Amino acid sequence: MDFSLDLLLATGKLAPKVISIGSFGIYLTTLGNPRSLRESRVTLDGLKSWPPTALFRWRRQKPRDGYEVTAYNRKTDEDDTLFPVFHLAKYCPTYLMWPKNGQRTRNAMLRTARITLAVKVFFFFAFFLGSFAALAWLTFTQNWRWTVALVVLTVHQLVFLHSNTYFKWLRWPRLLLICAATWLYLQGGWYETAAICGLGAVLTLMILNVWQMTTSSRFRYQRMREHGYGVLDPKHERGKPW
Amino acid sequence: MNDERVRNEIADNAVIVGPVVQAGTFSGEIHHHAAPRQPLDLLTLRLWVERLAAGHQKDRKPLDQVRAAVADPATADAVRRLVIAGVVAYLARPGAPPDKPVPEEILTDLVVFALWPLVTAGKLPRNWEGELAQLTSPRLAVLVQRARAQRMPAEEFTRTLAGKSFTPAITALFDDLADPRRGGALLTALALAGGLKAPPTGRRAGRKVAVWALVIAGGVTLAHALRQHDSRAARLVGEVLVDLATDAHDPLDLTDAALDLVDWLFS
Repeated sequence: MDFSLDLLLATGKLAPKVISIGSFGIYLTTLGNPRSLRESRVTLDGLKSWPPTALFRWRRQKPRDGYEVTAYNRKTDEDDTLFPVFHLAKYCPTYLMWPKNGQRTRNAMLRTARITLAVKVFFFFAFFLGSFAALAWLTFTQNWRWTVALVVLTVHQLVFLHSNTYFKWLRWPRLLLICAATWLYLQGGWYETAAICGLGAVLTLMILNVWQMTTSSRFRYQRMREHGYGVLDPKHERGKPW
Repeated sequence: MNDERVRNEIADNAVIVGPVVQAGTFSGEIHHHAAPRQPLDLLTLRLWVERLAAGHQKDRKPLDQVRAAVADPATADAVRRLVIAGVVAYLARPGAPPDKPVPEEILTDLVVFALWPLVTAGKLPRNWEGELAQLTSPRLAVLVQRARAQRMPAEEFTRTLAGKSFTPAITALFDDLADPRRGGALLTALALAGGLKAPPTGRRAGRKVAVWALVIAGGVTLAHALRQHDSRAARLVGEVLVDLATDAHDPLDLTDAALDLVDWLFS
């Protein structure tokens, strides 16, 4: 084991590259995830279900911003306002494309929804399929150890597909872990393989832990409580004596 | 038609050769009579544009744009144009105003006149319902949609409208009419074409535009009605004006509105 200062400096140079390229790659791949595409399609269909006279307005409200809709209610013969009708994923660049000021007609919203869907389709081909194709190509043409990255990415994308939740996974302990793995990799020899495989295994376990957490009833109930939907929707509590 | 020459004999034996037909005696003075303030009908406008286009083979792009705008009503802002045309048509209606207009119905009349061109229009842009909802309110847009589908007569449309509160709709409409970036410029142009005084404009001048319209529509009778705070007219107009006073530094008193009306009347 080499504990020299030069190796530590080399680690300081290489680790940020690994972290930034890896994170950015995972982020880009997530943008094109089929789940993201499906959410766009659901938003488009949801907008189509409103009458053409409905008006949409962006409302900033805790715990989560969203769109409210003002539409005519035939039963009460009044204009009803509902909030929220849908949210936007902030991690996605298409968030910036949605209008945030003033009232918008359904037609204007549909136009934006179609454009964002087209952008997501582009992300799917360019980033999602592109990332897997690039890693597969690197595995077969460069080094078999790229398989580890392929496995980590596959697990991460499966988790996102299932949970539709993008986690900020770059926390300090994980960054330190990547730095340690980089230092080990720079030792050379069989340490390279050990560092790559070890880091890949730990990251996979962490991602699986996230998967387990998002599917747990405790997590889902907490989300329902915060966002007021599902069985914890305040509307369901009306008329109950407790 | 220009080749047709008419020989006119006039009382003092003067002879004019040309396409002019002069009847009666000629006093030696020529009077220019201003044409009545009526917009060209669409057919005449189209014919004129066609004739101009035929005579100008060069630089036809602007003419082609005008032709396209005249030929196809489904152009941008068509809904707003129709609504503003309806408002101006109501305010610039020909003939002397009635001696005793009924103040409670001024707002209803204004909304009916504003929406009626949309009810009767043969062809509207694809998303006209959304644009109208944005301009007024979803409920009024649905009402116009129904009136078009059922070919509702004007009386029934007015009756249906009068039975409901339309304060939010008219508030939104006046806000739009006051904003020069939205309906303000068009309202000014059409009002001047209709022989009206130019309306006030400004992003927060919705209340002033409302007062402008109500003064023209209601005149002295409305001003008197507003002074009586208990009257239904004062309540209805007050609702709209209070809603339009969105600026926190500009709180609205109904007396202010009445004074505004009186200022407008005597200025």
